[in-house]
Amino acid sequence: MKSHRRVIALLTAGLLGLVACSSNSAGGATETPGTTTSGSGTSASSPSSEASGATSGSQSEASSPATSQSSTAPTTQNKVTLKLYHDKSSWQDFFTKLSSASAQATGVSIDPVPYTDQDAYKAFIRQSFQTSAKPDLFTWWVGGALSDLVSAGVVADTTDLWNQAIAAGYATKAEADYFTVGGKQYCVPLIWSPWVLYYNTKVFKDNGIAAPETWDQLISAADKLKAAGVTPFPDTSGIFSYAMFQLLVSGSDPKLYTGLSDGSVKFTDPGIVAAMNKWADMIKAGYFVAPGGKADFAGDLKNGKIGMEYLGSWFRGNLAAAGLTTDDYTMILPPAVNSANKVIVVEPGPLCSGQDSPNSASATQFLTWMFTPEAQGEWSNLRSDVSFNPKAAIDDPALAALNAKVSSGDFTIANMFYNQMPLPIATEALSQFDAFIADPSNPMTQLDAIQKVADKYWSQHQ
Amino acid sequence: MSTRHGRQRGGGLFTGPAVLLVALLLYAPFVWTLYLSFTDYSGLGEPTWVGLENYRQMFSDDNFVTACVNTLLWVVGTITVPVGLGLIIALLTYDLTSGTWFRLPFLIPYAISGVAVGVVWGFFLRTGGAFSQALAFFHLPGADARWLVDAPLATLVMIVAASWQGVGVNALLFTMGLQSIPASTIEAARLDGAARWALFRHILWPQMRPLTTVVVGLSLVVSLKTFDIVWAMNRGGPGNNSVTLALLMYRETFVLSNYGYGAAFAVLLCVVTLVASISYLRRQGRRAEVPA
Repeated sequence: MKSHRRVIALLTAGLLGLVACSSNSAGGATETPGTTTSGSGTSASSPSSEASGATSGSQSEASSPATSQSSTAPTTQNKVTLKLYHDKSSWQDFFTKLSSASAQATGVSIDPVPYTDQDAYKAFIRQSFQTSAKPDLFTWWVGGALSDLVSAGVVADTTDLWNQAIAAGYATKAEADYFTVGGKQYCVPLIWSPWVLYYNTKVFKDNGIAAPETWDQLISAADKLKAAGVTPFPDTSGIFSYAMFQLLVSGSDPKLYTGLSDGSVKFTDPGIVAAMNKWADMIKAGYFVAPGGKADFAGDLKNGKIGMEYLGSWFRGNLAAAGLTTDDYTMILPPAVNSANKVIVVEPGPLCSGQDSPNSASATQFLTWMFTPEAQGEWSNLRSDVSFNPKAAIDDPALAALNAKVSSGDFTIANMFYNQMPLPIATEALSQFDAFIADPSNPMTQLDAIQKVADKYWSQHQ
Repeated sequence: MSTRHGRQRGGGLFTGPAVLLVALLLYAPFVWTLYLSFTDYSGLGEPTWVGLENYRQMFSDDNFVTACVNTLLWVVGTITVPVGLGLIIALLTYDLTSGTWFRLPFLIPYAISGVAVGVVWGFFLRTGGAFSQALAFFHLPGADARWLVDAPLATLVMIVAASWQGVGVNALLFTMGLQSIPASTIEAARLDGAARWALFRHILWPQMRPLTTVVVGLSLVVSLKTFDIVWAMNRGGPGNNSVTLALLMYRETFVLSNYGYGAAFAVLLCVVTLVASISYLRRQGRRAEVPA
């Protein structure tokens, strides 16, 4: 009997030991693509909407001779598969198809590892830099998020790649600025999505509404939609709570808008307050779906519940997934509050490589290829989105026209609000914009709260 | 004696791996979190020692005050609603022949995770959602209410959602307590003419003290660490008006990558939970020692 108990105890101890010693590989923590855990009810599941702080960075690897390598021709020696970590689970299939193209062009293919939860993804990437398994390729955010990685010296410099791309006409200096920290470039652009206005073509036509070209025409369109029983705009609370603020402030005064990003302009500036009051007037006029409901952006536009939406060009993928074609909706550049301002807000999203990652040479090769028109044409057409590369062949005529406008130099390019703000300020702003959407009676309450966080941040970082 | 000593040594060898596992998975992370709470750490590079700065910052943070108030609401709400309802259900069903079938519908939600409860109730309570539509259909007030938007309504409805999940297990525990009371005691009280309220107050309630201590103690701990339901339903918004201490801890750590500051919240939460639990248990223990 005693020996029987001893055997059971030994087996139990051994089992516990096995449990303690077994590990799930943290480096390949693949979460099966599923519903995004955005939590706020929004169904705009584009990766860009989750990647709110795309930071761009250039990648030149001091330790790798491949930095000076301009040829991306595949050789039998350099066929390699790199893990590409990302938080854009709905793009998993796009990454897989991109891998086929890159394998043919460079011999480097990618194995995309998706994360459905952005917070878990950020924590994983940060912790991976503490290990020997630094990520070869990973998506990230511009602005403060990229600066954090650059300050820690964990993301590879791509200045040389950018210089080559600009010399070849694949990119511009203005685009490189978004991926610049301390005078050097890091990462390469994976996303370059201008924010546009979508409207339901049939709803507009049925109500005799023309595409708005001025702010007054936009308000007039909203009034006509409301009279027809169509809510002009969706509930933007949650991860897009900054959208209207971005549209109003950038269109009122682009310098005021960009001044928020370095603290030179306060959130309590009269110009900002005026924009918030304009937003309050729109809320009180009933131009938005009531907050707290389920925001099915694509579905609501499709069924005519809402008439217009202001989102990034990446939203076309969501619309396509919801069964809409370009016959069902029209995409235009939104009119600016001040018609003298010609501004386009762009959402840049970087693809980066870890400094001293295990396959840094191949990662550089892949990133170099990503600059080319062939890669950008493939990538843009997969996602039905535009490209930063003006030479990329975009199949969709509307997108090609938008691409041309963005690259034309006729517009001031501004960064998406969440990207341009330091993360603590952006996070507080999103919360306070939510509160404002719920109760727009006194915007100073929210603006003071955001400015308090901004004051604290800039006192520590300037 | 030597046999006993040998048995103890042998027992230590067999429990060693389990103790090591607990130490590695529970105590070591706690010590590391405690250390982090005195540092400025973003997850990159090495932590920088800042002493009590994180705690000083916490107590001057407006969101901390809001979180404390909301967490207190959760504590009061969780102790009164699911515990109170659980007790009522147990009292009504413990002596019924088919009482289990009456308690089963209340117990089933306990098998669902907190996040799933939050998602389901979020669907039910969203502005213009199923509940609002039902109220509108029956011409009842509240159809236009923004259940998950306005404070403190959002916190109150989330407490209701949590209560829906927790009432069943409390009813089960109270039923166990009631059924453990000797039938002869209850019969004697009834023969002496005790009415229902007197029976409950003088016989059932005092004899259920051990179970009540467990139920309330568990509810206290669960309410202090409320996170999943709030995160799933409205992420503590809008404007942080329904945020809890656990939610702030998560946001500072995983959203803002302020691991040191988030660790300070974690340590505070741990201390508050320990103090509350120990105080409550000691008080219950002292009351148990006082003769009736």
